[in-house]
Amino acid sequence: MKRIASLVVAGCACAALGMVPARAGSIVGKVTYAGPAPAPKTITVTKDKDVCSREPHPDETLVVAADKGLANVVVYIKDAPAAPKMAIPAKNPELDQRSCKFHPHVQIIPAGSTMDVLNNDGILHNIHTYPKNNTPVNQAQPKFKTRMSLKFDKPDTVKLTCDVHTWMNGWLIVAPHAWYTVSGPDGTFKLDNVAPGTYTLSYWQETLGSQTAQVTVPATGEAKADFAYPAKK
Amino acid sequence: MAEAPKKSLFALLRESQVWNSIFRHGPPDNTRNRSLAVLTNVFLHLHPVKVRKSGLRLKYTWCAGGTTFFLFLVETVTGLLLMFYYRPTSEYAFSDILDLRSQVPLGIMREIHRWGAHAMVIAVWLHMLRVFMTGSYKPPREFNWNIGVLLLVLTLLLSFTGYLLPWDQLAMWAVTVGSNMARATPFLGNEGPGAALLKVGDISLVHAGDDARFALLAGRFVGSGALLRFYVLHCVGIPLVAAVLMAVHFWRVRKDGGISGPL
Amino acid sequence: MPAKNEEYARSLPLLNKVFAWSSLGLLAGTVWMVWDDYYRPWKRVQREFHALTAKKTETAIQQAEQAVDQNALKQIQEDLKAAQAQADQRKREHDALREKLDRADVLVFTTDTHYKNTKSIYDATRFEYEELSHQNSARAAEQQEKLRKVESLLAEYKLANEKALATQAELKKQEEAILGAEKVLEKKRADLFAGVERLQKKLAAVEPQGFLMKSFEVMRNAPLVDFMAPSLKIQQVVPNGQNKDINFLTIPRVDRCQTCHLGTDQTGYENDPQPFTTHPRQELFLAGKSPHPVDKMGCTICHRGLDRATDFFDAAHWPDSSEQQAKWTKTYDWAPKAHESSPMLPKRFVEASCLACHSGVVHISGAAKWNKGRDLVERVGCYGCHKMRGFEGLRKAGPPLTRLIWKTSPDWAAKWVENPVAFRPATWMPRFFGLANNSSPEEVARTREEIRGIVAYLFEKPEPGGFPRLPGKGDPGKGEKLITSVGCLGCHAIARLEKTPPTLRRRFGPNLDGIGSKAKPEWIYAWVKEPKNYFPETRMPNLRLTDQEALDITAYLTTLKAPEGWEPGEAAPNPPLLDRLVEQQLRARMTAEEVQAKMASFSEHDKEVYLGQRMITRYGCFGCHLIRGFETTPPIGTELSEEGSKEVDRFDFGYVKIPETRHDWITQKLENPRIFDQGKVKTSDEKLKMPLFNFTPEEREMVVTVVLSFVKEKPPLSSTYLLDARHKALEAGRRLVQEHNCQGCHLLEGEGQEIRATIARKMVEEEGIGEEDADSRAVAFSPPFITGEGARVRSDWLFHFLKGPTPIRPWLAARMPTFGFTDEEADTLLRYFTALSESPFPFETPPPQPFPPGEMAAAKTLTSKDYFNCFSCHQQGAKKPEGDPSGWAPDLALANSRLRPDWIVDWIKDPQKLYPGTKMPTFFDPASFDTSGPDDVLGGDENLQIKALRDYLLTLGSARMGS
Repeated sequence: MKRIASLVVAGCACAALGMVPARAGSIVGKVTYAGPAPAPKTITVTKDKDVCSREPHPDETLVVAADKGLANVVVYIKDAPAAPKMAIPAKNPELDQRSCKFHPHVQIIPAGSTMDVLNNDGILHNIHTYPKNNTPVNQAQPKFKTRMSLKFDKPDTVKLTCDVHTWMNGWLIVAPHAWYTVSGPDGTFKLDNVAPGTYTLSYWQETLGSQTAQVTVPATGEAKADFAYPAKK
Repeated sequence: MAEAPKKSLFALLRESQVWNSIFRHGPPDNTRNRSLAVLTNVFLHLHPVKVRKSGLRLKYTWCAGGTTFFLFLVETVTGLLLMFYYRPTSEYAFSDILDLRSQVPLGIMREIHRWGAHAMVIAVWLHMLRVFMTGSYKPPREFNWNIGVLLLVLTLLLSFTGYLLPWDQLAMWAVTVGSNMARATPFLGNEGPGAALLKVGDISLVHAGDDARFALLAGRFVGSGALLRFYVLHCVGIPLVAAVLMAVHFWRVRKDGGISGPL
Repeated sequence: MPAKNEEYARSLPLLNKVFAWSSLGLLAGTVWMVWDDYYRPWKRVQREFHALTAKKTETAIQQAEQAVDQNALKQIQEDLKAAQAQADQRKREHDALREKLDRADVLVFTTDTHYKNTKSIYDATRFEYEELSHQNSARAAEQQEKLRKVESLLAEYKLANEKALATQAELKKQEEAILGAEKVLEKKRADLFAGVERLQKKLAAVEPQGFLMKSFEVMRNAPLVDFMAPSLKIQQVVPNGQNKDINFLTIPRVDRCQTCHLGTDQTGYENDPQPFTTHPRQELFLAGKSPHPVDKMGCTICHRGLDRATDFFDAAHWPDSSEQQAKWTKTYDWAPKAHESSPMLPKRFVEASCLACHSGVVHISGAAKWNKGRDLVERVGCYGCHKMRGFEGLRKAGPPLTRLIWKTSPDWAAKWVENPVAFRPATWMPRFFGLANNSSPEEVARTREEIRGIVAYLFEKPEPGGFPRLPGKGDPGKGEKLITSVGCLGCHAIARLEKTPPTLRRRFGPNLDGIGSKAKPEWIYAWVKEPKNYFPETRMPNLRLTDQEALDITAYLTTLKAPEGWEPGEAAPNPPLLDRLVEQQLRARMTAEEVQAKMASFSEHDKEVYLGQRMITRYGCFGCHLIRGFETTPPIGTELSEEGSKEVDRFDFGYVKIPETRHDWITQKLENPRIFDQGKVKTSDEKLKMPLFNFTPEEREMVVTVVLSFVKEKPPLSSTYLLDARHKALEAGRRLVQEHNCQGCHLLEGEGQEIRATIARKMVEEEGIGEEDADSRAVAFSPPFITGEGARVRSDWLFHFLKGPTPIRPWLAARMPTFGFTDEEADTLLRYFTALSESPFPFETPPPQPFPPGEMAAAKTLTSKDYFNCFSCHQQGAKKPEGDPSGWAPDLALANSRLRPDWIVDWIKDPQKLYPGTKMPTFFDPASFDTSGPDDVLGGDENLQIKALRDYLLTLGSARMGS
């Protein structure tokens, strides 16, 4: 009887294990900045002050937290042929130009997806992209166009600006595969469902540039990949 | 009654008038016909029917004269063939020679003609040397020797005129140098002795525009006039004279006792 | 049979043997001779090509066979069987029909023939009748009767023929009904295999199939019989009117290159080795539709070489590199062909052939290397010493030396002349001293004394005048900012600011390094304020600087000092050497006594000035510089107008061991001009004097290409690229564009805007923008693209703008300078721009005003804050937008005097199309044009909205000229 029971339990466990797809681990870490944190700068709003001053406009080009954590660092695995494509979500990812600021400052969308640009400010905005692989776009978004869609077919790193409000800037990463993520305000990040193996992990920050490190992902569990950017000269 | 034997087709042919008008005697299978074969042939009858045994001494004659004549015939045939593809004008002479070399089928005639020319000059000198060494200029053969010298000069002139025809730098300058000599002819050359005397007041009668050199070149320098003139001389003028003199030369050899006959 | 008792002079068996062997030998010799004559290398090449084509065709056939739709084929085959079965059933019927048809054919033929014969008879009879009636003969009536009879016969036959044809047609239709289906299906099947069959035919043409055809192939190319139908033949093109110059005569070109180069005019051989490789750029060369079709142009007009040759060596092929030469020596036993007056151009110089037909243009489209070479030649000023066709009447390449004292000092000038490169490595001025034939200690001493003389002459009797002291103090920091933003860097480079070597357009003006050690500050100030006050023919325009701006720039430039260790200063005077040199010069011109007298009358200074004058004459400085006393002296160099046709033996190779070709000599000359004096014994006056220019090896190659393009042969008029009126206008404009270096700042005709790199650099350094993005960001902050200027602005406005520019784009730091164009030059530029865009010139009718008020109201709505909010960025006359000028857009009040109405419409519709990268966003997305505009204005009709906006803009601002 006991034998039958343990067999059944073992069978269920095997079945359960069998239902899990390929083995996958994850990469977690924290990106920090070795140099001194820059003095917080505020961008001066020179136009449409009534709308644009609703929110503060700190300089987001290099955001260092109190514990040296670096925000808005794009962490991804370079050259991963086995990586699954990033799924195109049912609802288009959004970029909000609220209060003359790009929300979020750095965003990752899958290649082939369409991004919706929102304008709820009630004034003229425009979205001017500086891509490397996709077609550049400079589209006006007057008050009556609250939602505008832009398609990005190819993997890219796209700079976003507005010509009406020249202080606005943001970044859009068009990801070729799913192993892309961006660090939070404290510099921490997590890359899930990474197939086991040794990879080159890339870190990219808009001011400090690109750096790489090697990481080995186990069959299950987490691999730690903390990284400290050297001080900017 | 027996039927007349059927004549073969060949026999009928042999008896026809067409055959008899072409072949005036039978095949050379008897002495009479052998003599007639030579005697009644326009080309061969310059040669005697019978030759003395001494005439067959190759070690004596080297066949040098015969070689020269053979080469003359080669030159005539190859030269005639070349005339179909060579144009004696300044624009085309050089290109035509190049085309004969590389494009024209059997354009190797040009090489044969050139080599043959060199060989003929060498052969004619060897012949002259042989005649001298064997004393075949001695009486009664003095006249023939002179004919031979004339033929030598004609051979060299053929070479000289032919040299210009490729119309390359070598040709043009060689002929320039050669024809410049004509300037120095006494009385007939504008730079020769005596030309300065042939003047009427200030008007020169013999000047660069009408002296022997001008006549040779059809101009004051080697140009398209010289080319055409040399071409005509090379292809028609000198060969005609040479042919006539050769006929006299061979005739004289025969009449003077046959080739390499005892002195 | 010879008589029995006769002897033979020689032994018959021996004679037989001799005869036999000599016959065999002669036969062998003849066969060998014929074979040698018939064997040509090009035949082997053609066989290789046929084999290659056969292989390709076989692959193509396989692919085509695989591509045949098997299902369709099966269907057709089934249908065909059914149709054939049907036809078989009706066979008897068909046979009977056939018989009837045959008879009908015969009837048609006979009636037709009868008709034709009768027609001839009719014509003859009519003629006779005419004659008889003309002669008023009695027989005329009789003839007329005959004529009438023949006419009726004619009509009968015609009728009979028509009937027969009708019968025939009917019978044919009946036959078609029986056989028709089969025929259609057969055709369908043939169509399926059409491609395959075509390829198979092609294959059969190059590779005979089957034993019979293979033997025929051998026979048809055999010696002696190949006159009939050879498959290996010489391919030649006799381009109409193309001639070759062979020493005072011209003969037609006969290009036989394609005998070996068989794949050049066919696509599909791009990856095959030479000689079969497809010629590159088929849209430009060789193809029937291209401007240079091979059957009209041939090959040698571009590649040179001996046109009529069919042999690798004879054609005078020339290797492009030492590797290629080694390969050719191995494969083809190549050696340089001596005495070839027109050897083939090595591939890297092939653009040298373009000029002969494309003369009279500033740039030859498609010949990038030649164009760059030509620009270099013009910039460096080769024509200053060497006369060249096509470079007549150009200004002197260097600044005037008539008033040097206003600018600099004798000490600086002396050190500069001795070695310009030591002071400014990127200078355009070539080196005269310290070269291969004047570097020995005696030579150096002599040249130093010569330089003393030259400087003495140049500073002797300067033009009276000078520049006043500076009116204030300038700030070098501000000066640097100004220089890097106001537009100086479009023509000038400053080495310490450059990360990569500047392009040729940015070297249009001199490199500014060291200017602080060279020029007096007063001179710099006066120069940047108004260059023409010092050098009236200068290309440098006026930047309309304020006094303070000029002072700041002067202050900055004064900080640009000479390289470390460079000190101005003349050599110490050497009186005995000076005496010797002056005497040498005098002696060549006068007797010994006169020389003594002259020497006695000279002071030391006089001697120096005299020596300077003689040296300037010798070195030809006046070729590039205006010098007192040498205003009209002709240039000293060899004329190069036909240098590309110069016989190779005419080049003086001297004792220098380089390959004996034109290109090698010219390259060597540019690399080391004095080297050909090596090994020669020459007096100082006889030595070579061409100076050394600072070309990179690539630049040298470009200049050599240009020099090789100067040839004697003129193509026939039918081959020359003749300019129509529009192109003449374009060329005149391009000439001015070239002379004033517009493309240093502006993108025009696809080239230029080189200043953008400096603006991008500034963005990276000052605003921290990433290097990859900076270039595209800099587009909006660089001087505008002006290729479409003719379509954009009105001619009258453009004329006034060119004569006196005013700011239009407030965000641009760079300023359009005042060039000081004459009216004629401005008109030429107008014609150029309007020819470029094919816009109306000079006037056009504006849309009629006043505009409907409803439209104006709608437009005002559209421009308001709730809609397009145009004035958020655009200035409107005195009303300025919020924020920094770097975020503004042009003043819309200028629109009606400046812009063409049609262009405004196109611009509003899609600005990014007219100006990729512009800051003006697209309001009407072309992907969704019909829904891009607001739905509540003018009924949501986008075209009406745009028109309304355009009309509204034309009402802003001052009244139009002429309205």
